[in-house]
Amino acid sequence: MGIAEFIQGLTVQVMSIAWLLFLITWVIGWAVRGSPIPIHRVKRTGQSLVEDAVLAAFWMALGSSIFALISYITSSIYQPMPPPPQP
Amino acid sequence: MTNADVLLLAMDLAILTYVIGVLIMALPIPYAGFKRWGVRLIADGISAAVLISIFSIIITLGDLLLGNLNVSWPSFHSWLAARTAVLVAVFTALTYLTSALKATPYAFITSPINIALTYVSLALSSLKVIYFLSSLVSNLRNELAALGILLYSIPFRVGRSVGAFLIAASIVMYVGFPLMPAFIAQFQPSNLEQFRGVMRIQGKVVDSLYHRVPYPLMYFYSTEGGEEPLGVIIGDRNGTFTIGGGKDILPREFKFLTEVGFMGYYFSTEPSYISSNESTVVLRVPSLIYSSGLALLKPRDVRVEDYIVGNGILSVVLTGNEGFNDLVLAKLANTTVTKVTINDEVFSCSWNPFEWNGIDIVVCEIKPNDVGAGKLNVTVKYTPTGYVKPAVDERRITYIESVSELLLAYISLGIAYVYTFIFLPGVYVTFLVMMSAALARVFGGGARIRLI
Repeated sequence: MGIAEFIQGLTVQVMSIAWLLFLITWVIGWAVRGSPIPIHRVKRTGQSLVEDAVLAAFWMALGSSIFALISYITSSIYQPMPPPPQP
Repeated sequence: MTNADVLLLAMDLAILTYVIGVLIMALPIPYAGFKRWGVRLIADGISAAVLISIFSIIITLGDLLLGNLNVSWPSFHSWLAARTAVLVAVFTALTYLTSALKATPYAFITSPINIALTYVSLALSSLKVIYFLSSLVSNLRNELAALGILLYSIPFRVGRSVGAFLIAASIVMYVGFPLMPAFIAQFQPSNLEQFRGVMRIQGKVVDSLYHRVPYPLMYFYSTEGGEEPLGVIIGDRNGTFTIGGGKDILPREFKFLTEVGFMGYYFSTEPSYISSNESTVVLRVPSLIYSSGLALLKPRDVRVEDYIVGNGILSVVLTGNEGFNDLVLAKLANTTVTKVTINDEVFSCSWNPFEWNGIDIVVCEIKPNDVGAGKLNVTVKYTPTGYVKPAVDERRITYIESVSELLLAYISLGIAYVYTFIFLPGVYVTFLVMMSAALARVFGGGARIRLI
């Protein structure tokens, strides 16, 4: 196994763990937020956990699109201008 | 591993960095400082991906800037080579000067010259560093940039600063090194110009018939008089000799009287001097006719009307004033003369041997009784031999106009050299490194991207 394959495998593993963690965090967040503990700080912590988890899920879902967008923009910058249309 | 492979690996690392960032963000740990690392890693992954994608643009940017500034790497390399040649010439000249002065009353100058030599060798070392750096940048620029991007993409900012520096250096130094000549020319002291060219005069010694004289012994005298020659130099087998060019210490302007030593005799030349105005000179010896181990010596004003030289025959028709009869036939000891005829009459030579600078020479004075109206037809039949190099120690010209002037000239030259060959390139390389570091800051962390 080459280093590139190793890194790719690692990325897939990390990504699946991240999805799992998102679910866990989201659940914990809501659990903490909805728990019958009348302490405002605890509820706020639950709220922030939910927010972070959602943001993480958002960036994770957007990840491949972001990288694709970067390649698209830079390749279109580097491409020479198309020839003028012929009449 | 090609650059494309390195960039692919870097892209994988960038994606890994991004995913790790997301993972940290998704962790159920409610610490803002810890979460901030997640955001940072996401931003790092994106900036690394941008850099990977613009790799070709980075490389093209260097060439574009070079083209816009109208400089090129080949011209920089030729500039470097010219500077190395100047330094090597100065090094040789100084080394020679110290060895030449050792046995003279001016031996005390050798101590400051040795210091100058140290500086020249230091300048050579600094030039070596520039050679190394510039060849590294020009040959491995793409690899350096790719390696920089790879280091840049490693998660947790492990190689971020060094990677950004490598990327920045591959642009700045690629454009900056060919600009070095312009920078140094701007600040170069003017007195370096006059020392730039090392004077070199190439000369050729020919006989009365414009045939080359092998291994001529060149004596140079001062025009102000003086018995002692300033220098004694042996020409090569083709009769050519070189003065200057790092071997002699010549004044900026000079005129030396010349004398040629050949086969035990000393001849004046035409022209009778060499001067700093000409770079090539042909010195003719009008009293000498030479052919393969045999020489006919005649008075200077006697003209050669006709001649045959070669195939074991030397035949000349000489015309001069009435009654001239002082000719000398000189030959190497191993040259056999079979017959000498003067005006078609056989002349019997009485040969007198002598040794001159390790060469055995035999001479015969030709004093014919009857010189028909100032015209002599001399024919010599002989077996030709090659001429041998005289065993003389060369004494190169070390012309000292005045000791203080020489010392001052060398001190100012030394300062100019230290300034131009060590200080200015050093400043410029430092300048390039600082600019690379500044550009690396732009790539590597100066700009913060806020995603939340």
